[in-house]
Amino acid sequence: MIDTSTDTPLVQFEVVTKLYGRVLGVNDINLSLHPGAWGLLGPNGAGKSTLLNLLTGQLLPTRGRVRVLGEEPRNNPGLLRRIGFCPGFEGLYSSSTGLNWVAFLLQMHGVRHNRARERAADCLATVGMQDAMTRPISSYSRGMRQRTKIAQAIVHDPQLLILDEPLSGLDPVGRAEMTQLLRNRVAGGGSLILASHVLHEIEALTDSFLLISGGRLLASGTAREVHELLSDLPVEVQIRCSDPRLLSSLIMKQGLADSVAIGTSQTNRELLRVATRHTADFAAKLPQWVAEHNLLIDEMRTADDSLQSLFNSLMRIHRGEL
Amino acid sequence: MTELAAIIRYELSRTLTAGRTAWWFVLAGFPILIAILIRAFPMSRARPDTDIYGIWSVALYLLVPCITCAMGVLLSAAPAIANELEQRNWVYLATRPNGIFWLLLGKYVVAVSWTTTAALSGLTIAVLFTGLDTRLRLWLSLCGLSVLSSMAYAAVFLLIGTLFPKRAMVSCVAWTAAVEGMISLIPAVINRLTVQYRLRSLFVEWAEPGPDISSNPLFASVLADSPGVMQIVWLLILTAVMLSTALVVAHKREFTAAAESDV
Repeated sequence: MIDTSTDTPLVQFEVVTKLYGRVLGVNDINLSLHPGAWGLLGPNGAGKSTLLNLLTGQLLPTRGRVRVLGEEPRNNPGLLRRIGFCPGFEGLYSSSTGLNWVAFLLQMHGVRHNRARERAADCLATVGMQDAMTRPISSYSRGMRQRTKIAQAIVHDPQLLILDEPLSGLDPVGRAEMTQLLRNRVAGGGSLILASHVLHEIEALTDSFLLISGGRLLASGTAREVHELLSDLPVEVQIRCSDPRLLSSLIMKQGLADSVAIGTSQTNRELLRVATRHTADFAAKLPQWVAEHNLLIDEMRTADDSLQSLFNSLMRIHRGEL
Repeated sequence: MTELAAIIRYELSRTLTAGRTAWWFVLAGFPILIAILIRAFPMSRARPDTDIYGIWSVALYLLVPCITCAMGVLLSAAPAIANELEQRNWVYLATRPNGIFWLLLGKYVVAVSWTTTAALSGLTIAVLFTGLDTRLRLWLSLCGLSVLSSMAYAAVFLLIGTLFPKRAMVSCVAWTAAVEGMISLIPAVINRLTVQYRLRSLFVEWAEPGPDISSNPLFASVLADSPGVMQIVWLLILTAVMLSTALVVAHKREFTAAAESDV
């Protein structure tokens, strides 16, 4: 059964650093997460997998302390009974059937053979594998393997699900079904940590997230909380127009921009990037410049309110660009 | 024990693949083939006083408890961790309660069972080709030695595979050649730490391959003078120590199935 107690933090990291020899996995991470659903965002190589391996006790921190559901995860059988983990890579026994494999992993929790097969069959049906569960895994499509991996993670009804890119390889219908399954678990009081570099996958499940890059925690909290932190930061506007150099000089003369840069778009056309805190003044002046100088504007984009823009802003802060 | 039974059942089902079954027949067939060749060689006509029993017993001892058993557990126990890491199955067991403990113990039991069945099958048929009157005694002696050999070598190779998962097979072959092949024959106390020293002593006591071997000063330093039961106890202690060390190392060590690029 899922424990809905919220007294104990879901996850606590106290100055956690993990080194692989001289390579930095994660660096000096402090965080405390309350129970619920959390998205773990970061580009490839950011340290997401290291963080998940620390959470599941496969790795020991080089420095600092990790607590999951109030307990040290390393070599902790009691805690592992309460955690379900779906790794980002495959590694399924290809000669086995999905049913045998999931039942086998459930037996590793001490569940007897027949009961494990019944429960595994139910669980595989829940993830939409009822018709294929008795076929060898080697005959599965990537999406079917992904569903089977999710089934092995939830088969023992864990309190905390830790999922690394759980929706990769699934078709749109599969994504929707698995997203709904995970939503239901969260609604039922279960907790979830989902690592992904696809933002909308996380947005579909939660607005609470952690952003890591270069092994460092850049931000944690809800999208709203992080937006508030970033409210004083300039907004980036991208403009594709007939004369970006003229437009940039006009913007600079008016002192409306924190920075102006001319780059190249994907179609090899010049693209003007303006970072401004004076969005209202900028919006008022732009039509005037267009009319006075016969400028043609083909495209204008501003950062939206999604996690993507938040992610971009935080990454730019991390790189020292803002 | 549900966990151990699950691992054993699962691992046994994995040994039923075409590749592993073919290896089982190769192992079982090896002593049979050599026995057929020995039988075909006109040994009895070489010299009237040739000790036929001695030749057969030594040959079958080398073929079954030494080569077949060591080879069998080399194939099945040594890559226990490496296979799981390479195929990235490791994580699914590592995130189960005591999953790695049960995995190694289960793989050990399966490695010993798989090897022993191949060795005993090959031995049983090979002994039939000897044509000896005392073949039952020889068969019983070598059956006991095969079981002890498989148990001991499986524990040793499992430990080596845990310490050096990326070079498990090579390390085991090197260890066998250096320690079991050479050090076990050095007339010094160090040879008592080898599996081969104990097996050899038991073989001489149980099978009696020659009338004066144990009293021959040439063999005195490479054979134990204590009773056979002590050799069994030493082998069981060695097996338990090696197996326990492998379990402790696997428990303490950080293995992850993730590639380095997955940081």
